[in-house]
Amino acid sequence: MAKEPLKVLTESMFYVLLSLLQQERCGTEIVEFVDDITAGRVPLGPGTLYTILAKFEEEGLIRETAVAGRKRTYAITDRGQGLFRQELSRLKLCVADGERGEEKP
Amino acid sequence: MRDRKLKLLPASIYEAAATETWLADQAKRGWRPVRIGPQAAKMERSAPAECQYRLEPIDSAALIRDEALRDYYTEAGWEFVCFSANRDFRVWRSTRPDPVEIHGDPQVEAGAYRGLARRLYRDCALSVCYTLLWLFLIWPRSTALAGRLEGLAFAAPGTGALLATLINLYFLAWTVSGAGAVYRLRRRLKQGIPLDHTRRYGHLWSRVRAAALGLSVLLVLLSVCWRPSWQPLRPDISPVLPAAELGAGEGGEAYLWQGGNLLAGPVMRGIERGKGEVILDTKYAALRLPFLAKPLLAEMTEWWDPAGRVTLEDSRFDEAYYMAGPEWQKLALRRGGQVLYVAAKVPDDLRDHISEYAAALAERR
Repeated sequence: MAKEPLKVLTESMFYVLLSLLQQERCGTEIVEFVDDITAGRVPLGPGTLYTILAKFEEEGLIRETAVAGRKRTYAITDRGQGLFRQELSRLKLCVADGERGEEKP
Repeated sequence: MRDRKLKLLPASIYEAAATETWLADQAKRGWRPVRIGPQAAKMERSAPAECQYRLEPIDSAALIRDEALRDYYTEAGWEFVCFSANRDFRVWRSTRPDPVEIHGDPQVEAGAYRGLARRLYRDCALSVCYTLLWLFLIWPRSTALAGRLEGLAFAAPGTGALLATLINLYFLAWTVSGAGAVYRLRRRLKQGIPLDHTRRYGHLWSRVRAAALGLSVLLVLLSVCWRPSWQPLRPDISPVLPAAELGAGEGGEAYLWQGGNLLAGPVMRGIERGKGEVILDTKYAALRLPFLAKPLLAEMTEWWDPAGRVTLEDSRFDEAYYMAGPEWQKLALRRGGQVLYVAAKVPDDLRDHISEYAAALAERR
């Protein structure tokens, strides 16, 4: 079965990349960030987080930067930033289309 | 009461939701899993508890490298129980009423099932290839295994090839159903439909599955244990097979074997010895699946010399063949699902007794 490269991000994936955009974070910090910024709307389960981090590392969207005790820290790569911006543009277009559609009769 | 018990899973382990609810029910009854296999779970006694179980698919056999992430499972309310057999799943348990769901994103969860799905599809393809190889290459060619129709009809059932085929077919069915379950699950997850962790397993289905498994084991054991019995032909008992009357010679002895099995139905075999050598060998079978009689007869006559083979035109039989060699004569007859095969080293021409054979078949129809 051929590997399926990431093209469209799910909501959880989007927020994980967002959490690493400005700074490196470890797994639990990513969970806290996403919980704060979405006000609990997007819960990141441990299985979801582990799968996303493993998938992003495999695709070269993030990289592990440090291991300190029990914590591993992750940082976004250029490729990850590119995919994030691409998804953000797509979402902005969706929002703009939606708002235009609401105004027009 | 025993502290450990082996319990049959009510559904395939790849029906993860059904397995999870079954484990939760077992926990209420005071059983917790020690090891969960593809067919059964080893359970040990514990205090009855209200808890939830989750089967998390493993994309690779490696442990979660990030220890802090492992701690996050604990913070989310999950306790690691064990790995499933084949290391397909990590099994988690939670006693909290509202733990953070291990997988909250169905599409990410579909990705987590990808490795497992690939392994199952590969096993499925290998099982199909192996089964085809077994059925089309080994069965028709093998005489040593005695797994051919003739061996099945006239030897003890449960020969090596039959047993191996049954086991092979069982694992093929198991692999295909597992791959199908994971395929359906992934398709729903990719559509954004989350797994329904409250899905019940069918009590009736689990009992049917247990009964089918038990019956299969019983059939296999019975087929291994059954053996034909040989009994000497007594002078005061009329021979069952008319060929037993032919040219027995002075001091001869005859053996008659009667039996039957699931495939062949009533089966008889008679061997007559004259002066220390076999001079007459007769085989009769009335197959329970009549359409197998033609291939059985073809199998029994496949080594006949084509130059010496004679087709007899006789309306009393669907097929009738005769062959005379330097020492032996052979006669092969079929009517419907009945097959009669005679090999004789006697002075009489077997074709002169064909009416007796027709009468014998009619009598036993």
